[in-house]
Parts: sequence; structure tokens; C-alpha cells
Amino acid sequence: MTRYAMVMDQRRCIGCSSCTIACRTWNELPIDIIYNPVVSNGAEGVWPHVHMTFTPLICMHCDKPACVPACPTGASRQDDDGIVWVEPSQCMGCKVCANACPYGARDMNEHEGYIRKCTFCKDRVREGEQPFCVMTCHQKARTFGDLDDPNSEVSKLVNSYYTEQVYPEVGTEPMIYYIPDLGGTVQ
Amino acid sequence: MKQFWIWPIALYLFLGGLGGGMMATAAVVGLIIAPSALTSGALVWGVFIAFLILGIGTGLLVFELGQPWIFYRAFVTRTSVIKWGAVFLSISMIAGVLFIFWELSWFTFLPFIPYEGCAQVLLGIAGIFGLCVTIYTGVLLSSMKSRPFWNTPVLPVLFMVSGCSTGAALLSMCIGVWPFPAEWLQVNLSTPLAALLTEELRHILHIADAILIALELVVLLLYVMLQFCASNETAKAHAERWVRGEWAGYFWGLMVCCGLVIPFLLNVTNIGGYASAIIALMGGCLLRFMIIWSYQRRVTPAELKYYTRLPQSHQDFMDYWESGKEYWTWVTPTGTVADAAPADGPDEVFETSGPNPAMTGAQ
Repeated sequence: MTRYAMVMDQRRCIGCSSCTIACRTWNELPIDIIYNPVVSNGAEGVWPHVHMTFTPLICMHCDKPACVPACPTGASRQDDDGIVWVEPSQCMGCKVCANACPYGARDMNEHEGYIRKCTFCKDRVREGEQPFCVMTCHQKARTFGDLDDPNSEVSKLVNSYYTEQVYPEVGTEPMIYYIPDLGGTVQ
Repeated sequence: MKQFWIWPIALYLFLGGLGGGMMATAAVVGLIIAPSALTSGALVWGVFIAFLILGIGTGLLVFELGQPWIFYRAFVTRTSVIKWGAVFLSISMIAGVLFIFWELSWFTFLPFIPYEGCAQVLLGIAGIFGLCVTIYTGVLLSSMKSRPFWNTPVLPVLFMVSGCSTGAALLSMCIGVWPFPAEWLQVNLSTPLAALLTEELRHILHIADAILIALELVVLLLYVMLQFCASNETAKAHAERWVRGEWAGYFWGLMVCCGLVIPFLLNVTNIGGYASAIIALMGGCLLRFMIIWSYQRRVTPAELKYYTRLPQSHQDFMDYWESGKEYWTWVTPTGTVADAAPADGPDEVFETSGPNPAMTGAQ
């Protein structure tokens, strides 16, 4: 079985927002929708011991997503490889999944009337390529791969490094793992 | 954070609870309290109003959709809460309208319909599924793990009690009323006996409404208190806002005092009449709006910072740009595109700036 996952190395991320822009370009997003913001608390600590951590957020492609069972139309679905996506022609735009998502990963496309969300670039991934944000990241902060394959880089990172997830207590089992910066936490 | 559900959903939650609660109370009155009300046709107008309210609510729901023409897809999955809500709504409305047709004797030309007990069965179905609608409106919100203020098992109970109390209030206004020609109904509602029954049923409904309102007050205070003591910061912040923040006036003054305590007193003393019903309805409506507007999900400070600093209305800007209008030059400090020209000399600005070279070049 394939189980796609992504590792965000916060030690490497410099907050350049290249992934945000790359995603927008590849997915031809409406201008109000952002799939992967890069957020930060700003400078932290007391000078001279200051640091700044960036957290790239994205759809977590959860193992047990909260959004898919909430969808009444069946437009929101999860494939066998774990990719959660929305079929636009079946989505009636009730926005219940956008409310159900604990990560704010879904947004309403007001101008066309359906929900849009990150698809892990499934059009690229299924042809053996990397997602566009991963390919763009010049700091190599993002790693994408098959978590079930023990030889994949993602699997090695998740199994050998200390990783964190965003809101694991919600019980959605998110598939985006963060390697926190400076021994901190995902924020 | 972005609010996805706005006034149509809030209004729908109110109307769904109201209509469903009305169906349920009508069924209780017609099947348990006073079976003579069923035969005398005193409930027909109430069930019709409930049907109308559910219909308006459903209309709002469909109107609010992004792609309304595929609303039928709400029925295709098995597990979603909205699907069950749509099923409950449909069954309740269909049974309600069939009950009205039955009471108006529009079915007598059909030989295969069993005549005995048909009205009771239809009203019972409408009432049970109406009650399910009131519960589902709460379950819809409380099933969302992402919204801490909604994600509590008290919410469905609160919505059910609120729906039933507002339904009883509106039914007490509608019972024994028939504004259309009396011969349609084939029973006379203006005889002294029928008037006495109506008066008696109104009194019973006022007492029942008082009990339900007292129950609703308890559940509401319990709900807000639970959220006030919640470990979750977001839920706590919302409850703070309700209890002693910027909405405290609405909550204590309008919802608790005007929407619950005063109708309770008026109903208990039986001097309220229509006034108590109307303010109880307004209180129920306010409750739904305040709950829908307490929509925040749990966010990290960094995320909040990111989204609050993001410029709004990008798409409006792009639309203006692509339409070739010149509005795009007047961007207000808030980042929104001004629809009107500046107040100080609009024509001057318009004329002196002229068509933008970048615009004409782009097109």
C-alpha cells in the first residue's frame, strides 16, 4: 500500500513563501485562496538569544479526516493512497467540510461555488513526480514520499527524527510531520 | 478566521428548529393531549404554518449553496449529518402536507387509501421527524471537532428544547385558526364548542411552553457555563464574550431576559397571548445567530497573525481590473475597492487621471 506523507523540516524553512506562490501557480488558484501559508510568530526570545521559526501549513491529508465523513454529497473523498480531494462537479458548496476541518485547509471558491483544497498535486504525484511545493522548496525543507515504503526518505525521517503533528489530539492522524526548530514545538 | 456559514444558515437553524418543533408539538397535541383537536381541524393551520416555515428554511439552505442546482446530491451518502437532516426535513414536510390534504379531504377520490387513522399516522410521522429535525440542527454543529464552541453534546439538547418551546409558542398562536373559507375544512371552527376547545388548548400550550422555556433556560445556562469552564481557549474566549464581553448585553438582556424569563412569566400567568410567543421566537432566533457567529476554530497565534494581516477582497480588485473599469485606482485604506468615487471632487479625480495607460495597454 502507498501512503503519501510529507515532512516539513522547520530547521531548514526560512519563510520565503516560495511554496505558497508555487502552489498558486500550479493549481491556478483563485486569488483569495491559499493552500499553504507559511506562518510565524515573529522573532522570539531575548536578545542576543533570539530565533524565528516558520511553520508551513497545508492540508494534513489525515488518515481519519474530519471533512470526508461530513460531506453529504460524496464529492469530498479519500483515495487509497491517502490523498483527500474534492470533485468539483459533485460539490454543492454547503461548506460543511470547511467548517469540519480543524486545520482550516479548505476554502470556498465563492466565484465558482465549490470547495477547493490542496490535492497533494495528485496529478503530478501519480505520474511519479513530486508535488509542486516540494519541488519548488530551494531549502529542501519539504520532503514528500510514501510512508509505507521503509526505504523512502519520508519514512526514514519520520522514524528516525523527533517529529510533531498539528493538533494530534483531535484524532485525525495528520500525515504532515514537522521536525521542529531549536527543540521547540509546532506553532 | 474566515466565517463560512452566515445569516442564511443561522436563519435556517432557527426556522428548522421552529418548524420541526411545531410539527412535534402539533403531534403531541393531536395524538396525546386532545384527540378531538385532530377531528375538529384545529391543527390544520398550525401544521400548514410549520410546513411553510420548514419550506422557507430549506429554501434558504439551498439558496446558500455554492452550486444550488445539484442540491439533490445531499441525499447520496450514508453517514453525513446533513444527509440525515435532509431526509428528516423531507419526510416531515411530506407527511405534514399529506396531513393537510387529508384534513381538507382532498384524497377522498382515491379508493385505496385506508381511511381509519390515516390522519393520526401522518401527523405522528410529521411530528417524530420534526423532532428529529430539531435535534439534527444541533448535531450538525456539535459534530464538528474543529469548532470548540459547537463541539459539545449539550448543543443538540439546547436546540431541541429551544425548537420545541418556540414551536409550542407559535402553535399556540395558530391553533384553532383557519383564515381560508370555512367550507374547505368541512368543520366549523367558530362554534362555541370549538372556541372553547381552542381556548383550552391555548392554555395547555402556554403551560407547556412555560415548562419548555424553563428547561431551555437551564440547558442554555448549563451550555454557556460548561464552555466558560472549558479547557479549550477558543471556547472559553467565546463564552467570555457571551457572559461578560461585548455580547453580554444581547445574551443577558435580549436572550435570557426578554427571550426566556419574560415569556416564562407571561405564560405562567397566562396573560401573554401573542406577545409572549413573539418575543420567545425572537429569543430563539437570536440564540441561533449568536451560536453561528461563535464559529472560531482553534488557531495558533502565528496563524491568526498571518490571516489577519492578509489583504482582503483581492478577487474584487481583480474583477474590477479585468472589467476595464477605473475603480481600481481608488483603493481605500482598508484594502477594499471603493465602489463610489471619493467624496471630495469625484469628477476632477476622474477626469485628471484619465484612462490608465497600463489598462489600455493590457487590453
